[in-house]
Amino acid sequence: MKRFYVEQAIFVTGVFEGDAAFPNDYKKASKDWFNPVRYLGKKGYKYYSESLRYVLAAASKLMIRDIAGSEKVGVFIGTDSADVESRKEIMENLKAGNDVLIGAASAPNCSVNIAAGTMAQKYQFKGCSFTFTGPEDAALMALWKAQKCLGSDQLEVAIVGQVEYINDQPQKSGAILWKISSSDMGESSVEVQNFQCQRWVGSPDEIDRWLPVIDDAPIYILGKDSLFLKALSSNLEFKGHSFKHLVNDLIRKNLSSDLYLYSMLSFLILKKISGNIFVVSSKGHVYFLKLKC
Amino acid sequence: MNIIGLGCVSCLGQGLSTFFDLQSLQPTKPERGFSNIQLNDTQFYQGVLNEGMARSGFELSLLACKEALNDAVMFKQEDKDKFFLSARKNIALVLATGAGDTKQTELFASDSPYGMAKKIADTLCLSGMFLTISNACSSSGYAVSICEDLLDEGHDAVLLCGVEAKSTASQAVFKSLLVLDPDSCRPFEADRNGTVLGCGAAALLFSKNERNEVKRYAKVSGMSMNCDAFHATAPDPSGVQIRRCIDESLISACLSYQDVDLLIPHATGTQLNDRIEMDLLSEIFPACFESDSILLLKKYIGHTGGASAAFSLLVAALYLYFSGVKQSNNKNYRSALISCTAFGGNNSSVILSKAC
Repeated sequence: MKRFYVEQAIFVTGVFEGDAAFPNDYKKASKDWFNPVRYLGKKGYKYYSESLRYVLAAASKLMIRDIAGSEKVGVFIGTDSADVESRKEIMENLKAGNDVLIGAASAPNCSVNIAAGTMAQKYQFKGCSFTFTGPEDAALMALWKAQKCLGSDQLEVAIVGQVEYINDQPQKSGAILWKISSSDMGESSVEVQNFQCQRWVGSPDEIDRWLPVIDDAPIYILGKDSLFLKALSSNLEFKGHSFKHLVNDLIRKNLSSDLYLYSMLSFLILKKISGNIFVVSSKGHVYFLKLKC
Repeated sequence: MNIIGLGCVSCLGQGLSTFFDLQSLQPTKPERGFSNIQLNDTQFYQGVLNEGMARSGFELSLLACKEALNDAVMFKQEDKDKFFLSARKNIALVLATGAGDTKQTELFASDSPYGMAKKIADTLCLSGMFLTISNACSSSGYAVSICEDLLDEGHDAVLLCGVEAKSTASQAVFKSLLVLDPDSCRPFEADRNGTVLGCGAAALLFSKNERNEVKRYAKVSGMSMNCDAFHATAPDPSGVQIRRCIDESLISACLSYQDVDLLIPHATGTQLNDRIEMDLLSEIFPACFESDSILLLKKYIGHTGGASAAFSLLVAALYLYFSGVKQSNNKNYRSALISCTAFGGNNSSVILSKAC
């Protein structure tokens, strides 16, 4: 059986910062919600983009110093917007007719994989590192690939997450990182089994793929309303399974829409909710995993 | 995992024939590709591509992908429709790109350059998974491992498309880092002074399903990926992780240094990158600097960013398949090593061997 363990999940976002269960007393974040000094100290990040600062801030809260320098640790980041801020700066300088479009110190921020690369450099992680891009489920693809690398023993530990930055709405931005491993680290870790992904093309038979692995634990569906979510729900009902569609309006309204799926999954991890989990993107990708807490 | 279809478009033109017998071609000359005052002193490999095509990652990808899909069925004409319709039902798409569809952000001020994969999959009626990997210049090298994973998940075939469009922002980045050559891309030459960017797309169709394999260009016999963890943009001068990557890819292929007949290194033309690669390759492949054992692709098409490894894989596959036929030498190539390095310290090494 394919499995890995989530040891930690950290939020550094406008909606929520930390690794405790989601607070009830949420206050709407201001545009300058993020204070890098709290995480990164006073120096060392002057030329980093905001998205890179979010990722390093989240990484600073993970227990990863003991695995620094390892060739068996990799970083897997999903994002749709990590380089947008810096590339926009160049185009604005171009329009303004400025002589220099971007300084050498800031230029690396234009490479969308710089968050993974900088984290690898800071902590000397020499295993393979991936950056997946695209709207909505890039972090879930990153998680899928990280699981493959753990399962084939290329890696022992992976740092997996997502970062998004919305230029004119930074309060909706942030990073979420997990530390996952192939070994069970004890009571605090959440076991993830049978993580799979598939493109849903609408045939009722597609659900048969998951039926053999669905057990008696509750079934939860994460995702925004879409044709694919409705199709999956109908098929589960048809096969006689009851389920709950989990939504969180606070996250949906106050966080970047691209962060929605990964943040919902992260909250299940933080709340230690066991179950059969379907995560459905509006592009038609369906992810299935079992959480055992 | 076999390569069963190929397609490409670059500054040399459209189609696989542009890459037949590269060694008989003269290196291409780039041109002043940007009219902006800030960039009009820099070179770019645009060649025969018009501005609209060069700027559109979507159009470049589509051309390359269509050719690769058609190429996979060309020798079994009577089954063409049946294969085409049935195989396309379960083909996944892996898009490998450094900066995505930059036309969207630079010309249309839209915020999402990384939504191409779905558009391409929908246009080509591919109903497998689709995703985008953006590991800068190593994107296509890393993508090969994802293709294998997707085949293991049950897809009939996986289409890997490396693409990089012409980008003002990317040109500005490379200029600011002082790594652009004012003349042309001259990898491994003593008077080299930097790289020159190019654009294009290279597509490879992978399969593990013999039922679908009409023609096999080559097989992927080994691969490895790791990270320098040294610097955001510069490779580790010691070359330790690059060496480890090459060694592990050979071990996974059960091959030794002597089994590799063709090298396609990253070879960007920069002082630092080329010195590291030259030192390393001359140590572990001492015969590699014979003219028919090493291909420096970027002197023909420039540095195509996230697509560069895909072009290297495509050319290696052609050389292995047409070994001694379409090349002006008559050398029989058994295996090829394709290596690349990237911003963020990502290294990859892929071994292709002659298909059975």
